[in-house]
Parts: sequence; C-alpha cells; structure tokens
Amino acid sequence: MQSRFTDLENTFTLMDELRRRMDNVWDDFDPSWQRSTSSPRPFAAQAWPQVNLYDGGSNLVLKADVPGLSDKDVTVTLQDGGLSISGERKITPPEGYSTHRHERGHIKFSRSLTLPCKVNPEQATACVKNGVLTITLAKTPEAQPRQITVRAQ
Amino acid sequence: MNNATHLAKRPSAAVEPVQHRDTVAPPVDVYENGEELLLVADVPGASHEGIDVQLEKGMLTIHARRTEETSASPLAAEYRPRHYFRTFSVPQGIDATKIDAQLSAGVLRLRLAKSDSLKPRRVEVKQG
Repeated sequence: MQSRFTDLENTFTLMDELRRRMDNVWDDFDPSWQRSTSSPRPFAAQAWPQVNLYDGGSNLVLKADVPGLSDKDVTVTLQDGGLSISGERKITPPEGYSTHRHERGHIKFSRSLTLPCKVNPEQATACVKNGVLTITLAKTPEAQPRQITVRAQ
Repeated sequence: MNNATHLAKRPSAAVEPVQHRDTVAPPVDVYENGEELLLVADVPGASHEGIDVQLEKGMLTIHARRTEETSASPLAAEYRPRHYFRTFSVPQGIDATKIDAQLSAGVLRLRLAKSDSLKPRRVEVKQG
C-alpha cells in the first residue's frame, strides 16, 4: 500500500512538472513572447539583461537581474543622456567534476538605453545585491517634478 | 453604517497586502564528482530567508522567493519578478543531513554529499 501511494504521488508530481514546463515552453523558446501582459517594447525583451525602469520622483531607478555577476563584473557608463551596461559571465565547470546538466549559459553583454530625462552623473550610484543590479540616477533640478500652486483670483 | 456593510465595503487591499507573483523553473547546472553532487541554480533577487530546500522521499525541492518589494508602476518593464521552483529526483544514498546550501550573487549552490555506498570504490586485485 505504501509503495502504491508513493507511485501515485510521483505521477502527480510528474504531471505538475510537465504542466509547468508546458506553461513556460514559449518563454524559453522566445523570451520576447510573453503571456497575458505583453511588454510594451517586444523586441527590447530579447536583450540581456532585461531591465525595469522606475520613476522615483526625484530619481530614476533601474533594475536588472544579473545572476552570478559581482560588482567587478559589471560596467555602467553614463554618456550624453544614455546609459550603458556591459559585462561578462563565464561559466566554467568546477575542477574534477563531470557535467550532467548545463543550462546556465555563458553570457557576454552590452546594452545601451536612452533615459527619459536628464540626470546628474555625479550622483549616480549602482549596486549589485543578490544578483540584482540597481542603478539609481538623480534627476537634474530641471527634470524634477515641480508643483505649481493654484491661486484664486 | 452597520458592521456588515462596513466589512463588505472595506478596500480589499487594506485587509492583507498580497503579492501575487508567478513561478518559473530556474536554470540549473548539475555536476558530479566522487564525493558529491553539485547543483548550481540562478535565482536572482532571492535572499537567504526566501530559500527553502527540502529532500523528501527522494525528491529534492528548491523553492526560492524574491523578497525585494516592487516599486509602483514602472516606466518601462521588460521582466516581471518571479519566484523560483524546481524539483529533482535524487539517487538513493544521498545523505539528507549533509546537504550544504550557499547563496552568493543570486546563485544558489547545493552540495549533496554521497554516502559511502554511492562513492566509487577501487577494487584491489590480488595475485592468486
């Protein structure tokens, strides 16, 4: 009885796994294809790393997943209102080990983005934490939102 | 307003902030040597607290949650942060008490030590 129950459980685990893989099959095949909420710029999604840009009011915050890259491996450059990120991730099998599965790729990348407003290059900061690159760019005073008081006349 | 309508009209976001995120299978490298199996998985955004590794009934389950908070409405979004989940069936003879997990720079490394029965053994040939 014990073994039969385990077999049943295994079958369901396998079916769940299959379902999950089928859900992701198009994502794996072509990253530009996305379910439900499609990206506003479908062709940009093929680039690596994929980038999210947030507006923090007085600054711009850019986030990108860069697993396996430390602060030394990423170069961030600001020039003429554009931002470039470049770097390389080398995957070398550890010494003395045989390889069963190799899914994490060797990546060499360089991306350039045009920023939506002017930023102060002196106050830009970039950090990598848990494989996520966060770049914070302070907007120039002209680009910051300014509230205009409405007066009654 | 009586209590019943008050509860019904409460904005749902205030009751419990729920972050709904999809789950993906992270890319994994698997290596083996005489002493151990080594699994390397890319889980960017997951922190130590968000990672749950279990070995039960010969199935190794890796669950990694992204813990960073999402900022409101991005100007441009190319990816959505997702949790990670993956299972592997592992051979018998892996010592569950000797699994070592390390997280650095968004990369999870799992070392599964083999018990003596799985380790390669050299047989001495005696002269008869």
